[in-house]
Amino acid sequence: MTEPCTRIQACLADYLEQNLEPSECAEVAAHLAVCEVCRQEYRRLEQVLHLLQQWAPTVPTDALWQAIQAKLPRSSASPHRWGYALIGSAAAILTLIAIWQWGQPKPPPPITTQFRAEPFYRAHFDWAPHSEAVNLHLSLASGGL
Amino acid sequence: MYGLTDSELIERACEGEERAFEALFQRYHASVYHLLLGMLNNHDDAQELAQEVFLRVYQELPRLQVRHSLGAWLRRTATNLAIDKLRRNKRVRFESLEAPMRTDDEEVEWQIEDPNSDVMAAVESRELSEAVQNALSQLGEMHRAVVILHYIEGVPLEEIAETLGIPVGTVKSRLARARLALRELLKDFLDVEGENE
Repeated sequence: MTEPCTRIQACLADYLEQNLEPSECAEVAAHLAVCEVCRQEYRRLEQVLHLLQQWAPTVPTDALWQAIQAKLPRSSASPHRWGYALIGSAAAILTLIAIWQWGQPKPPPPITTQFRAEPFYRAHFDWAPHSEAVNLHLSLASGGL
Repeated sequence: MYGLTDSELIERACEGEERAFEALFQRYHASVYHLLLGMLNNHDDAQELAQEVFLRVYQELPRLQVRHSLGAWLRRTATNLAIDKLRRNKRVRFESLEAPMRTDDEEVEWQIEDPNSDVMAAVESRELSEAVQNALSQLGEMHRAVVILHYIEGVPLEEIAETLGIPVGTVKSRLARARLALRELLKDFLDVEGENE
């Protein structure tokens, strides 16, 4: 094989895949036009690549999908949904609690004397705000004794 | 559903829509299966690993949303799983045309029909397919990977380099050596003027 043939055959794959610069491409084409040895090499390569590109064995689509589907976490399937489901459940529970509390009877109003008494005595007994008399009265008013 | 982009399907699959995941499967399973079959030369192994690839992609769905190429992710996962398996086995089985064809419950001989019939064409096609598969199986695993990815799956050299973690120059040199080997392995099927006559 001549030196030009070695060089040309080294770039036949790129020539086939149109990866060469225009000038290199023209050089290969010109050589192939006059060299039977390289032309045969070119045809062999072309056929090998054609065989590879045509290779498309049957794919067991249904069996494959069924096998995969059987192994997917069951449903509402996605594991990524568990987080959302958990948050949703928590929100629903909190809402129910809020509704339940809203529907409960209100607690009895506080003993008002306790709140009225203190400012009254604070106002009128500032001279002795913590005297025993005041404390006793406050305790009586709140029902503490 | 099938008109949606990968990103849209991934998003829906993340929300638990199984049909979206099935659409992704339909879009990529043939490519993944061919890649695995080419690498492993065995239908059962290819099917087993194809399942694993798609189950992994299912688990990775939330993280895949940020990726721009699901195809590249699938090819990388399939190639790595196949190479791992080959390294574990160091044994490749080959189903020859000479061997009886096995069906679910019996063995039957291959039958060669009238050369003019469609059946003959199918047999020739199957024979070619097996020859290519056999030739691929005789390449080293890394040469096989670059050939399948580039010539069968049409993956650009740069992506192959990234998938396999090797420089583009190495991909090119492996392709060149693989082409030479394939030319020899498939020479009986090449019809070059002045040869095979």
